[in-house]
Amino acid sequence: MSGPRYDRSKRQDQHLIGFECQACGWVSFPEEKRTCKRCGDAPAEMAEVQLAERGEIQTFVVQQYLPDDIETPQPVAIVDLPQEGEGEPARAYGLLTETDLEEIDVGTEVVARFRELFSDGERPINSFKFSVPREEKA
Amino acid sequence: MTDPHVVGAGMIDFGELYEQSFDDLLESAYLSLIENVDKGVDPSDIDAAWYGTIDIANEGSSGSAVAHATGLFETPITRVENACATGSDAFRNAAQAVKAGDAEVALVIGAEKMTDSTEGLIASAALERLWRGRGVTMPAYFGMRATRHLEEYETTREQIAEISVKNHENGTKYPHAHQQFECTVEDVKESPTVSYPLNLYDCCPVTDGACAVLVTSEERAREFTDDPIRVAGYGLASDTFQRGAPEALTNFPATRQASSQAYERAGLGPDDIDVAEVHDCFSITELITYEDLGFCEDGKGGQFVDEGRPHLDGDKPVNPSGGLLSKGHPIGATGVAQIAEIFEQLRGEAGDVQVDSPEVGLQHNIGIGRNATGAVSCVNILERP
Amino acid sequence: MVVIDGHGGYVPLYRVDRSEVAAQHGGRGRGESAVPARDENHVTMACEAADNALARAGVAGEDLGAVVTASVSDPFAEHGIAAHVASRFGATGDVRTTDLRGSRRAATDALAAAREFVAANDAPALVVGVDVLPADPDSDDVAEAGAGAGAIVLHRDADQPAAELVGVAQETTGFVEHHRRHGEAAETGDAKFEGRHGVGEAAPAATERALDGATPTKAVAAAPSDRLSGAALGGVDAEQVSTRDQVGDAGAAAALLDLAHLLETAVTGETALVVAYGAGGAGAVALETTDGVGTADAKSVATYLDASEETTYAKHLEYREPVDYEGVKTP
Ligand SMILES: [Zn+2]
Repeated sequence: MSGPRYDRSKRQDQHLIGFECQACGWVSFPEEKRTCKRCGDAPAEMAEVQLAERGEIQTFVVQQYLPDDIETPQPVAIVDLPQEGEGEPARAYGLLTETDLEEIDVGTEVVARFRELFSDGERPINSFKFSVPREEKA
Repeated sequence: MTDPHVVGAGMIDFGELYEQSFDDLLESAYLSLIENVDKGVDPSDIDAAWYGTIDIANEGSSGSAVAHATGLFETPITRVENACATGSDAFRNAAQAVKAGDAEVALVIGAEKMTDSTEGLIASAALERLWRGRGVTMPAYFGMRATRHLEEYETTREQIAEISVKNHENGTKYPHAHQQFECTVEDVKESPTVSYPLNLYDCCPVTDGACAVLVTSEERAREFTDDPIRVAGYGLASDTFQRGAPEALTNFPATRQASSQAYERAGLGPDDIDVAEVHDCFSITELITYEDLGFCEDGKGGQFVDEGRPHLDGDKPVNPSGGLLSKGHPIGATGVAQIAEIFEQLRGEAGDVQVDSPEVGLQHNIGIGRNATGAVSCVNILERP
Repeated sequence: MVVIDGHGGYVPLYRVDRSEVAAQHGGRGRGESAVPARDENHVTMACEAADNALARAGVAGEDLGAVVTASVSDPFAEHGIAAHVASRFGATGDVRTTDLRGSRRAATDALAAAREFVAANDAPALVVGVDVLPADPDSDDVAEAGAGAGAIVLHRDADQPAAELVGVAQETTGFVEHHRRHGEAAETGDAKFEGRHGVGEAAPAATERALDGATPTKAVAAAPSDRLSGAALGGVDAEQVSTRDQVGDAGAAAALLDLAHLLETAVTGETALVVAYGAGGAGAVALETTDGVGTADAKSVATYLDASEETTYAKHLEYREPVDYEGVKTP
């Protein structure tokens, strides 16, 4: 995966690195910020934090009408990605894969799945989607 | 410093206006304004103009499009784009300039040619950016708040649907509304799912439209009408759910901030509002907005509907014009048209949707931008002087 | 000494019933074939298996010294798999990456290459096999086209390895009967002829060299067909561990996926054999299982086999095609 736009944020996109404001604890993801979106600190002191490869659904919808690029029905959620250590989670959009409406609710724990999101020309752009744990499909 | 006043409004019938081009819409709204100013307006009186459009038809419609439509080539014209708050922000900019004394007679014109865009807004969901709004359409953005509101509060699906029922009923009484039909809660619940939990009848239609209003200083207002309406306050703010505030999952902090700015400027509060035109792009949006504007407590938007308070005959009528849900939502025109409707209401000229002698009216928009990660809200408050 | 420090597999969620596919062509079939989801590709599937193997090894991605991948279906001529898997796990910088392809023996070649790297450099190496076989509705093997991935972490030593690599060998013959161009159906040729002169002259020789007199209790064998993989184990009296009935033909991934399954189900102290036969010859690896066998610390192949969802013949074909994205890049 390359091309300037995608190469720029590869660490966030493939390794879930976030940036925590040392003034207020807010976690910037996926942007690598020099200002804080919450407390407005500028320049903010940001510390790199590792986010876990799982999330908690804060809210969601299940899309029925989307461009052909995306298969429907497509659940889309706002997920909280917890830090590996102490501290606040990052909050971000998450596309769900291999997951149906019946399997999710507000508060459902989902795992991050490394998947193809789209392509840059012919090159697949891989990053994370989310799903219910595979073993629950048994 | 002077108080800006609205002295005239020119609305056109909203709808699928296939026979009118984008430029035709601008012309129609401008001519409608010229015809409807009580004492008339000479184009040479206009000393500045603000134009609201997101140019969804992709016609490169900058300020000069308004010069072409009006002939006001020697007049400063500024295009404003601020997502779904575009029209109301164009108005806010005009009001600010008049208040500052920099313009005495300002034209505000908003227009959007929605039906010429073959792909429509849905195409933006194919966004090729990670962690932004790929897969997020407008019904999804608002639907996510519905899911969380239903989960967190005692809000019911029926209460959300009732807003659509109310606004469609109002729309049948408002001559400029696009959709002229009534529906029931069952109709809403049984219409096709667009984005769970929202169905087709929870969504506003795709509508062309334009509207223009004239804003002047207090000193000059009576040159144009004996019944001007004062602009008492305005506010504008943004937010994003990414900041992590819990209320950003159920509500719109941007609306809370924009309305508190407007209330403060006006020296008024939510209890003082007699009529409101608010952003109901989806049924849930209006329910959330009752709470964000302070018309009721957090989580009580559903109960507010159940009690009939936002209905035409309620104590806090909301969207007597039928709202975006039935009137339509030509993005750049929407906010300007809401100003026109509040202007009519406060002058007692709203016909079949006239509410009982209102003194203060509020206009509100909430827009989504930056690949569906941010929201912007604009609130304007008008008052009988 | 080089040991297997971690093992892991991956099988996509979706399965197509082979009898349903065969029925459309007036034939018969049994078992199922794995179908990758629309948003899976070689790199993402390889990463799923590698994730499990690294978790079992307790090896951090950034500590890897080499990543070697094996695939007979990588759609790209230039792009590769190994470097992308490496980078996904943070193995960047002075990390050797190797993409092996062109024959199903790429699986055992990858183990051999990684073993040499580990022995020479004392840094762990990750081996991943990944394949999505093309499904051509006009070909006989459309129903069997499978998908999956298997991964092994090799280390010079470990606290609790799953196995010790005791023998690695190959037999190169230059014989080719079954062959295939990129994205096309295979030319399978005469299976009986291939069994006798292709498999028969390569697999036993490689096996004998790798085992060096030991007697395996369990074995995995990968070859272009069920029949040929049976032939590849000809004369070896061991329990064959295979996921082929549920996964279908997983190409060069099959040997490593089945090996992961073997190590998850074996007990300590077993002798196991891996044979991979493909164009040009065969490779064989002999190993002795140790305490680290089993399913601890990661999802098991058995879980992937059980946790499945039926899909249609149409999806079996469609999900193998690249998605035609017409997305909005600069809104
Ligand atoms: Zn901060």
